[in-house]
Amino acid sequence: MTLLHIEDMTKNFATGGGFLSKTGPIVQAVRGVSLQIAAGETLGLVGESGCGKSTLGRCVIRLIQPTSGSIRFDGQDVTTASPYELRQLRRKMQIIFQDPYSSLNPRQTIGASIMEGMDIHGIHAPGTRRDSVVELLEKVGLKADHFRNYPHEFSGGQRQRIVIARALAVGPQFIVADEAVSALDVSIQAQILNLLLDLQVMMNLTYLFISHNLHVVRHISDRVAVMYLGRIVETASADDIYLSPRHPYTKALLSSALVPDPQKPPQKVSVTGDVPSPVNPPSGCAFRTRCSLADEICARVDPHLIFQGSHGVACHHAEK
Amino acid sequence: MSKMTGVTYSSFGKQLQLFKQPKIFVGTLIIAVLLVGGLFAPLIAPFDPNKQNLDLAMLAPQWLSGPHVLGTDPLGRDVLSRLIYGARVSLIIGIAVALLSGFIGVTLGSVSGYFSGRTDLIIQKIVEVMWAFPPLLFAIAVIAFLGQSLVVLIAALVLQRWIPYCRVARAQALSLRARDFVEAARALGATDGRILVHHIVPNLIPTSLVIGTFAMAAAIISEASLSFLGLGVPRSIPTWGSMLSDARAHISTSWWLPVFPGLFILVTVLGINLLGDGLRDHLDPKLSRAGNH
Repeated sequence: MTLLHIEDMTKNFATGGGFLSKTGPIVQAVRGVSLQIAAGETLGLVGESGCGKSTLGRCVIRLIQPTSGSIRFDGQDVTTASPYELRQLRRKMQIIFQDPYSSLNPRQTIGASIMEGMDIHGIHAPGTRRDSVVELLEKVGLKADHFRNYPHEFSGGQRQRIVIARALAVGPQFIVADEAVSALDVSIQAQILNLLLDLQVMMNLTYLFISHNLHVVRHISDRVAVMYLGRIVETASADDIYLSPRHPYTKALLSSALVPDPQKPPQKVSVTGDVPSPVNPPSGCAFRTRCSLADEICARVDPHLIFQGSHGVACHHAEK
Repeated sequence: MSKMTGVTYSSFGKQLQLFKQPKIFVGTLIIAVLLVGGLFAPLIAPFDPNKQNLDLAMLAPQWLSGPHVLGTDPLGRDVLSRLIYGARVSLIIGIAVALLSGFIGVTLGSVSGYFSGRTDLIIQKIVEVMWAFPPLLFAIAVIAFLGQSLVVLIAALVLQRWIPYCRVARAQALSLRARDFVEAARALGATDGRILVHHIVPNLIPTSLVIGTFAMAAAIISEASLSFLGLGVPRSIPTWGSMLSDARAHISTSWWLPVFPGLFILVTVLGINLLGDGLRDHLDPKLSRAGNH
């Protein structure tokens, strides 16, 4: 069953635009993305910084209003939800941010932070909320007596556990994890990832897991979507992406990641140059400026995602 | 983890630690002495501050050898008693102005910074217009229009003193608005009002406290200046400023008349500024980190 259905979503940001000039150049952060996430599944969204993956994540839970396209969650349109409907949707969709130091209000106790969602939505009787918070604290691997502590008394990994508990407090079905472990030490990353996996089984959660770290994504995802300059260029099951990537950008991404197996021959695909500006993306295929396979058709025709089974690639030369 | 085990003292104990800093200790001590003096003026002052006795006019300070410790003025009123009663006016005005302008400034500043856009534009235009007035001239104009009273004086000072709070609160609200915890609160379904009250304003309190001490000192100086010009509170209430003003005519013959009120203003403002300075140092993350660990 499809829980989240994104259809041709676009997000433009107007830059500049001051007192006299109304609009500056437009940044096309997300350019016509369609994605589906099934209930209970984890979709990994990878791409380099600035490719629009965080913007996509924020649009999905409507922290940002998308410019066009539709997002349906459990059959309900998120983009056009009324303030009342949106409030109800907030209970079902939550987000975990990258920076655990910025994610918690320094003047709020841990207990108050976690309880806030329950207060907002009137979940549990006021007298029993405290018990529910303690239960959540224990569920994410913290202690009941952390209730009264302030964020500065915790390490990054502990804070991320608190942030997870806060998101879970409203009983969501779907969580956007926006670079949720990127700011943590590698040893702590594994703990938090395993916590997320345990919680997924325990509470039947669906994740949109956004990351630039391919190993992390492989560890946690059922399916992976690769994003480049506001577009999805390849999407497939995690194993397919890692074992038989078909888009030249995906191949380059995978070969840039260090492989822990020294026996494996190093892959040769590499890219040169910088990501083009999202203010003025190249004509045709956005990746053609850095692609070794690019020819004149790539400059003229913007490739669409073409599916073979569940493996979709947006490339004119995917077979090469 | 080491941080967690390090925090063993209670939050009350943490507050007490504050007073180990000399600036904060001295500042608080001065303000506390003045508060007690002003509060219990009728018990402490040796004479009625307004009781005239022309037989005893212009007595030089008798120090501990007579009843008029700091002398008397041209109408025979006891200088020390008038100074003690004068502390009341200074403190009432200082505290009232700091609190009221803080309330107005932080409210408008946080709203301005949080919502930005049109709301911000309007509030910032008001700030710029108010900021353009010379402060003392503005207060004189307000008092000239509305008449002389304690309430009008406080209102006239509040009308200018909210501006520094507003500017700082706005700048901080602008940066807080972009922090992930505010975004997380929005994702949880919190309304703008709730975010302002629970997430923005509590984070503005420490800096506002520092601005508050400076606003209080500035208000006390302004009151003294206005009283000196004869535009402060009504003449029946003794204030340090009006004592200075009265002393002007006798400055060459009776040194004690201008010196003691001047000294009181100086020490009070110094004390408040010391406290403000100490609090600012304490709240500066770089300094406090170096001090705590």
